[in-house]
Amino acid sequence: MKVTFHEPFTEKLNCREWELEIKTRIPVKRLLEIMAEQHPYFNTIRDEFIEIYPYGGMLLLNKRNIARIDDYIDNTDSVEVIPPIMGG
Amino acid sequence: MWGYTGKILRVDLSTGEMNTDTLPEKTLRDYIGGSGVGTRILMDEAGADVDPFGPDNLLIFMTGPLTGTAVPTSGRHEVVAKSPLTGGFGEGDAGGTWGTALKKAGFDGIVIKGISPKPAYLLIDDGSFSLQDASLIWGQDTYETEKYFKAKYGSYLETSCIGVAGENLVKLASILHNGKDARAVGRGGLGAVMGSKRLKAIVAGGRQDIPVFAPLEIKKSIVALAPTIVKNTKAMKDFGTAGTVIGCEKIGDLPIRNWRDGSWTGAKEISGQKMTSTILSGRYFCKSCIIGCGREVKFDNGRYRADGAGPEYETLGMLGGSCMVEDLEAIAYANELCNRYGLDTISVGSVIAMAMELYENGLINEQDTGGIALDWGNAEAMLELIRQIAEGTGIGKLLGNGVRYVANEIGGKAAEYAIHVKGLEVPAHDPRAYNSMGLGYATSNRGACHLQGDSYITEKVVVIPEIGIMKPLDRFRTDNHGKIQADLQNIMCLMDSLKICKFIFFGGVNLTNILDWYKYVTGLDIELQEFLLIGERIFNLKRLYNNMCGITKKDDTLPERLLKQPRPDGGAAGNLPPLESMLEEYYSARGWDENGRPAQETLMRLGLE
Repeated sequence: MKVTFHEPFTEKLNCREWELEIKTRIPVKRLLEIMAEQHPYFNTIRDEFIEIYPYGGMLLLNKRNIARIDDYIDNTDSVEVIPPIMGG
Repeated sequence: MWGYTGKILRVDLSTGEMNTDTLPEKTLRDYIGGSGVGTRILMDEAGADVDPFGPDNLLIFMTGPLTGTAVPTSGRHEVVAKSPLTGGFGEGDAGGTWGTALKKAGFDGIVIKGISPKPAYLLIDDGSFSLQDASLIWGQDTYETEKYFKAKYGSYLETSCIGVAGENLVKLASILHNGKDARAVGRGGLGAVMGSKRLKAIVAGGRQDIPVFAPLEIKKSIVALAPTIVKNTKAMKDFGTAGTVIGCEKIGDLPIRNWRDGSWTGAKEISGQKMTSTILSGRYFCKSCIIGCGREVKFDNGRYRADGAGPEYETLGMLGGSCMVEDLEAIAYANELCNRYGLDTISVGSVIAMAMELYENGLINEQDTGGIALDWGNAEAMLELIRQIAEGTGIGKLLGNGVRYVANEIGGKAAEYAIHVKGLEVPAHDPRAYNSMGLGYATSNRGACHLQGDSYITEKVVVIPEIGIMKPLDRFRTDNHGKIQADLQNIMCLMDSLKICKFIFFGGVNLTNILDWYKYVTGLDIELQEFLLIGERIFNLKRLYNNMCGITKKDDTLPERLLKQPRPDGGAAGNLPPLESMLEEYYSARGWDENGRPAQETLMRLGLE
């Protein structure tokens, strides 16, 4: 699964993209946990990135849909990590 | 009644006559305050036939029962008038501290008619009131005006004022509050209505208590809810509404090149994240706010400078994305110019983007612009146009009338570049990225406005269980729009009447919490259904006003570009809002006839017959 990062995540991670091997369909929440396991940055912002998702960051699936925490995804999905979209 | 001072101030600027009045309890129960009561007064006392710049148009400043209480985000007030930009219903909502100051001065609102023979300001100091000569400050910008009054009267009086744009009757003029913190009643040209009355400012403050029915219950509720509000809105505090620029560009929401393009690499250059790491100097909290989305910026790079409110998402979308300007400091300077002149950054951004497209396609040339090369992304050109719009000079004299007027004057293909609904320029959220916003814009009573239905919040993060939204909705769905949009518009009418910020929903606060606050403040014991009915009544009253202005179904539409031309790439590529079917659902849910007029049984049900 291709995970693409946008600012400010690119800067924090010092990379633009990950390739993750997801064996089965998983809920979005599980993907967020995998990301926290993969990189200490996501672990340090766990409270705002996972516990109150999507208030600390959002996943955009296949360039269209804002992922909900209980949506299921698999290896064929593309994921973009963007800052939260709230007011404005 | 609890939650109200019980008094409004009536001012006739033509005669100088002023008196206090009370509003009937039934009016307060049926319309709450703010937007609702203001609309009722406009309808009853001005009617729809008034010339927006004539003496009979009313300029109504109204607080709500929550204004000035401890309820989070309640430091707000509403201004209502017939709009000179749209020719229909006009209103605007502002945060800051002025609404609270007016209430502490002893008034729930002010109803202003007439035209002053010379520039004047209204002074309301702890229950006393007078009209004063404003000749000395006529011509001053809003920051200097506020500074002048702070020096003259002390810091506990707050200033609502117009800048040069309002004085010059520019139809994109706004009313500003809190000096360089710049909280604006931005849309629909209400600053020009104030200018037409030669009213420079209203300076208000006092030390009167605001009576609240159950202060301990409010405190308990705040203690319970505040930690979640603060936690959920941390990103808004960290990056402001500007923090959404990058995400909005990714999902295909940000306007780009006057709504023509689908994606833009410049977004990250003008984002809230970039602002935080460069020019941000502080964060601004409106009265009673615990979110703190306001930005303060300070810089001087020799070319551009700013010291005060920083640009919000809307400003960045319209002056940045839509004009293709990717210089954050230039936009922050443009924002400060608009605030000082008293101009709506949304409409100004839209009309400048339109001018750039007219220039690109040869419908205007350098002879028309006075030698300015209106190329996309030309920040200097944008800044010069802002000056000209405010001062009514050069091509700015034309542009200051808004995009609909410009299209009519130029003719031909110019109409394709005029992105508005009912004469109000579309704000920086694309209805091709959220279908529901297409319906919301088409039916919003003040013209294209993202806040009158605010439906996209339910397609991002917000749930509202009380109206059946248990989880965020699909932004591209093609059905199930009518009732949801109507319900949300009714709820937003409640918010604008209670006077509470809509951002509170991002904090996880639900409608029941808000109803509880209304009950704790007023002591009125009403059920949710009755509460929602009040919102529905207010929305329909605004619609009736617009019907009387000649606005009907034919006006419930979207500009051709947003209705028929999909974004070519990016996160909303290929999508178009199915407006016709959404409207059909909506009229049915509203109980309106085929011409977009509330049916007789609807009016009777709402007590509006």
